[in-house]
Amino acid sequence: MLVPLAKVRIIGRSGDLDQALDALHRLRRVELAPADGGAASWSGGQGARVQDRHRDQLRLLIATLDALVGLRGDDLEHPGGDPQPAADAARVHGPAVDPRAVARDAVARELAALTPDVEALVGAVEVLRSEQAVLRRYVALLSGLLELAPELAMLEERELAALRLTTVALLLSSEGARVVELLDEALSEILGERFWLLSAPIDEDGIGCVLVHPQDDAEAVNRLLGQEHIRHVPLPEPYARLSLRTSVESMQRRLAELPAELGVAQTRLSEQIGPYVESWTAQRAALSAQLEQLDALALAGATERTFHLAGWTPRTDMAGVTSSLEGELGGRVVVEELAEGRADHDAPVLMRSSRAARPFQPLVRFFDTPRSRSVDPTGLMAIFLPLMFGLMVADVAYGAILLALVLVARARLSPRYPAFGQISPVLIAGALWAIAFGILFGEALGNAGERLGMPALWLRRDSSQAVVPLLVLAVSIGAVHVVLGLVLGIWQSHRDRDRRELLGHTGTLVFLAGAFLLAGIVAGLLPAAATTPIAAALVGGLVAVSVAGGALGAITGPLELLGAITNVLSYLRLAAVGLASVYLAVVANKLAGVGPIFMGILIAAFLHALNLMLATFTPSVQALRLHYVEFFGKFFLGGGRPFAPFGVPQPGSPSGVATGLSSSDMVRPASVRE
Amino acid sequence: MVTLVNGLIAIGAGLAIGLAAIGTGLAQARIGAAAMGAVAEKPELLGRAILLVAIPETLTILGFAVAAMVIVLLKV
Repeated sequence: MLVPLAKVRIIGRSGDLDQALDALHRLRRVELAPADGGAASWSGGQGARVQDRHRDQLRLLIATLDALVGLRGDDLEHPGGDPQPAADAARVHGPAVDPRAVARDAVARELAALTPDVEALVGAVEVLRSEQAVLRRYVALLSGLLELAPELAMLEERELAALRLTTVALLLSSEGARVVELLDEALSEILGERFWLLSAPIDEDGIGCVLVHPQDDAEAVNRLLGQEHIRHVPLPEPYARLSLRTSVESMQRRLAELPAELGVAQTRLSEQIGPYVESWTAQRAALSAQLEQLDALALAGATERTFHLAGWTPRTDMAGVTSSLEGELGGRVVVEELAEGRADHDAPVLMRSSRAARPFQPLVRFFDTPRSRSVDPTGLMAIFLPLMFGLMVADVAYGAILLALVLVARARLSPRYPAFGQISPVLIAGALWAIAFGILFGEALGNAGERLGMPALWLRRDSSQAVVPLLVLAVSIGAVHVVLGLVLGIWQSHRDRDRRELLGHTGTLVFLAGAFLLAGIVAGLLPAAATTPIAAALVGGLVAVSVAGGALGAITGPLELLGAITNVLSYLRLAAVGLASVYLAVVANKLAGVGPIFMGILIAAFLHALNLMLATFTPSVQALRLHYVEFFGKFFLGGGRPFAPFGVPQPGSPSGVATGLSSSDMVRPASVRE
Repeated sequence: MVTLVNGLIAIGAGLAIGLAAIGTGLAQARIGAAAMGAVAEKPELLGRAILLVAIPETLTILGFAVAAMVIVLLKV
């Protein structure tokens, strides 16, 4: 159900606005809305600039705190999740924060004093990480090059110097297929035979080359390489004058030393920030509260000497909100409930369901959030969805396997994936209904249960006589579901005083009743004498729907009624999907008896596993579709906005919270400033 | 007993659901492509997209109903 929300107005003296916002923030029971004619006066002119400056400073401090704690691997952000009812807010999001417990300037000073040391330590860690990354790249490159010329790898620096040779490592782009060949030609033109060039692909993007040439030709070679825009791979300074082999060895030694140095640097960093993390967490929460309250100022309205706030709160919390505010402000505030207009569709929506129905709430919200003052179908979905799922699967063995899988998955996955834990009762209910219908139809792994002597309480779906009763059962469920949707639609349009919708839904309902009775006559269940009232119902329904359709009603009315009948027939899928499932199981059992026993078991196991997978997926989608299209289409009004109480962190919100402004720098309307 | 008449009835029932399924497939292909394009730009439309994709399935169900009636009423 949707919790009735009261529209409230809070009026007080201008000087008490801070305190009122502070109290509301801690109360976490009121969602603030823009007050009539307020925002401009509170946030205009110089006052707005002061607010903006404070807001920027708060955001900077919050970001800095997040960054500092992030260095330690913690995350100060509040956990995401749906806005909770006020009573649950403290349990879910922790105790309310006192924004005045932390002074913005004090935090700024503390961070300014601490930041240089932290930055130095972070810098040291970054330098070591950077060195590690660079050396890894060089070692990979040079090791590849050394494999090209094992003889070169044997040469020491002094030997290279004695031979007056220079070694150059090059990295060429592999995009040009002939790049090495062209380089070889260019070197031949200036060096003749006096060079040695070896190449091999280093990775997907590059070709590594080793060029050995006389030291005397170094200038000409460098000029050529510069002209050709070839990427020379300069070694880091400590390794620049070493031979390739010595460079690689030195780099590998350094790489072996780096983890220990990195560990020491990170430990120092953790020791530096560790003692502050707890206080930073509290400061961050308080600053966020200040920012939220500051943002809330823009929603307040003002007169010469008063402020007024508007908002929404659960009607059941109204008395508590009033007494809390009056207690906090010493009676200097008035809280009144405003009359809610029927067309006030901006009101937020707070969905509250029984424990059994709560897992189905996400399925409703997946479609859309119900609009304020509309019907919340969560409870009805909790009844019909598992029933439809169970009717389609209807197999004791499949239901039991599914139940076991869900229970195991819930036990293992719930800690990591809370969403699965929340929605798993839907699957459990579906599996239980599948077992129940399986007993009704005497099915376990298709007709294997029958072979083992399992009785059917009603009928066996794989028999030829079962088709008609199953179709009738499916259509009957559809009729009940669609009629229920229409009744809810009638109630909704009556509540909204929407006469046209009311007439349309009523006409459709009357027409459907006539159609059902007509089917009864055709089936011989009703006497032919009932034809006249049935015809009257059909015609009356058609006229009502056509009139409700307005100018084009003569065209849209019949189409609407045809759609309603199609909606009912759409529930035939309950029988169709079920029959497909049972026949696949029967085929699996038949194939099990063909050929050698082990092959039969293998084939049967495969087909039953496939059937179980399909029996889990398809009925879920079909049952949801029947709800979203056939059922919700009759009454559901979407586009609602979830209730977001002031003070409860909202998913995706930056961090801001309340005014945090001290009395001295509190922004006042220009007319109030003295 | 399998007779020519029964065979023709069975073929008729198969055509009823088969052609309906082909029609559904064609419709779902176009709706699905458009719906996924919309979801790529506005992920919050996923629920509506699934709803739109699911709508043509009724054609197959009606085909199934016709096939079932052909078989049951003509007593294959």
